[in-house]
Amino acid sequence: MHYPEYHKQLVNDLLEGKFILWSDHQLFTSLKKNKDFYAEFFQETYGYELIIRNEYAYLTSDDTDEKLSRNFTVFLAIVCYELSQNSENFKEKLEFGEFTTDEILLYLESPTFSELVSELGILENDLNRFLKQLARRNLLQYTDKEQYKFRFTKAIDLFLTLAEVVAHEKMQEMDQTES
Amino acid sequence: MKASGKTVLNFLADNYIFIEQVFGIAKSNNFFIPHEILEAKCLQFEIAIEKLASYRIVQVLGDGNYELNKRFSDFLAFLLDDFRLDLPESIKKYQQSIAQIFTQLCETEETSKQEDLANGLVSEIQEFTLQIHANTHSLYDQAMELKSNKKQIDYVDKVKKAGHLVKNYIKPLNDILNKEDPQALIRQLYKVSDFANLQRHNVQDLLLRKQFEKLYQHVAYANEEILKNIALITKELTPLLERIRTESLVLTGVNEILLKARKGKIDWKVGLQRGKRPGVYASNFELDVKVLVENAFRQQPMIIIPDGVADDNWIFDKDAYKEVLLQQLPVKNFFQWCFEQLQKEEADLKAEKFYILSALLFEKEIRAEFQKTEKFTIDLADYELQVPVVSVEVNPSTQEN
Repeated sequence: MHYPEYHKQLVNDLLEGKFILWSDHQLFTSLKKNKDFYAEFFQETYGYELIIRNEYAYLTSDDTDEKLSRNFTVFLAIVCYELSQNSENFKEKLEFGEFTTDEILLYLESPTFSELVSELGILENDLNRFLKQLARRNLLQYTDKEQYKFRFTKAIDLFLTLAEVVAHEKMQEMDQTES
Repeated sequence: MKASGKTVLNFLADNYIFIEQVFGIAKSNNFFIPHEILEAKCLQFEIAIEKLASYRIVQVLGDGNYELNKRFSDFLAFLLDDFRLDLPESIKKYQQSIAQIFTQLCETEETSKQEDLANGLVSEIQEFTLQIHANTHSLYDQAMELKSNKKQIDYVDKVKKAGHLVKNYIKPLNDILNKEDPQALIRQLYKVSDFANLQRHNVQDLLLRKQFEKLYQHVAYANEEILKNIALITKELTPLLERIRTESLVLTGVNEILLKARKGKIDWKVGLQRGKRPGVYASNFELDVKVLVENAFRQQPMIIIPDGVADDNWIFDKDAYKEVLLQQLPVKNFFQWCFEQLQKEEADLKAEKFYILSALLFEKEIRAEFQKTEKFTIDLADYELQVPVVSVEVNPSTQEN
């Protein structure tokens, strides 16, 4: 049987919880060209659902107790909140801007969120570990050798979309209360 | 006695700031001004309130309140470039009126009627152009106000307001100006332009020819104005409002997520994989165990604690861990137990600490049994270890002693 190009790397990366980014053209194109094969492959083999969006792809499953997506959502929410509080165009900064670990640490340690951050165990005494975990998942990419600066990848759209869904739910709730 | 135009204009010029403020009050109140507010404003600027009525700047209503005269409000809106946002329907009506007058103009052969109709068409096109300009600029002002959020409205209201402007004003305005639509007014104007162009060269009557020339020039100006407004709507206004809407939407969600997270009500997850590979038996299974065991032994004598403090302040308190283990015996999966013990202290656990604790396996009080066919993954910060399932229990020989 002939397997699609980059099959081994695709399967390994996805099973390791990595987002396959469009910017990694070869991998992404191979996955997209063979999307039916891979959707069936992951569903039948592991019971995982393959999601392919315009800019990224990932595996998802109901049967997992992972906490990373929850922690990352809260982490990103804090970054968005702090950026908007500083009157920054937060979407532009998230999409194109560069962050430093010190800047992020400042946001997470702000009195508004320090308790929440500690409860969720996002920092666990070391922000770098958390950020490296995100880098391994392709949620961010370091822009210097010292791993001090980074940019978020397009995969964060998944979490921003989640915020939009939550907002719609909240607005519907408010409309129902008003009526 | 009716005041002369010059007197009124002089009054407006001398009291420009007062007039500007009155216009602002009236505009925010659908052009009605409560008596007490106008009275207070007049007192502030030392202007007799009666003068405003006698110059017909305001009209006194039956209940004693005031209304800004429509002619004045239009003039001031034009002067201050501060227009009221009209419903798209009030612009759409020109579509019908221009089409009607144009049809009549094409059908009539009577010169004087042609003059009247051409004049009427010029007037309608002028008003239409002004209204398009007024509405586009008013929308732009509102979008900018929403962006700067001087009124400090919350994100939910920003989403609603931006959505409202797009749905009820921008989109209909865009539809009116969309030249792809055969019914669009701009297509009607092209026809008027072609007709006026032909007539301004062919008509014998000099006056009528001038009238068509005027009509042609007005249509040309209107087209230019429409193109400018379309550019403003499509290139600036629509993206700006869409950005305000999505940004506010995300921030609404962000606030809600943080609120729920604080209340411990975050029950969503994307359901990503945990980064573990599926449990596959390693071909070098026995070798793995050997390495693990050797590492465990090797690590034990290597615990060097300078000044009693280990790396990152971790001191391996063997007796304490051993006591916990002995209390919990039998343990079905020893390595999983080690992992869980250490993970309580540190989420991103490194292999070194794991190896050190694993050495408990070889304490004389403990008897271990390897399950040869079972193996699983320990996901450490620096390694993924494939380890066998090892059950441990109290060593009966040590108990007998």
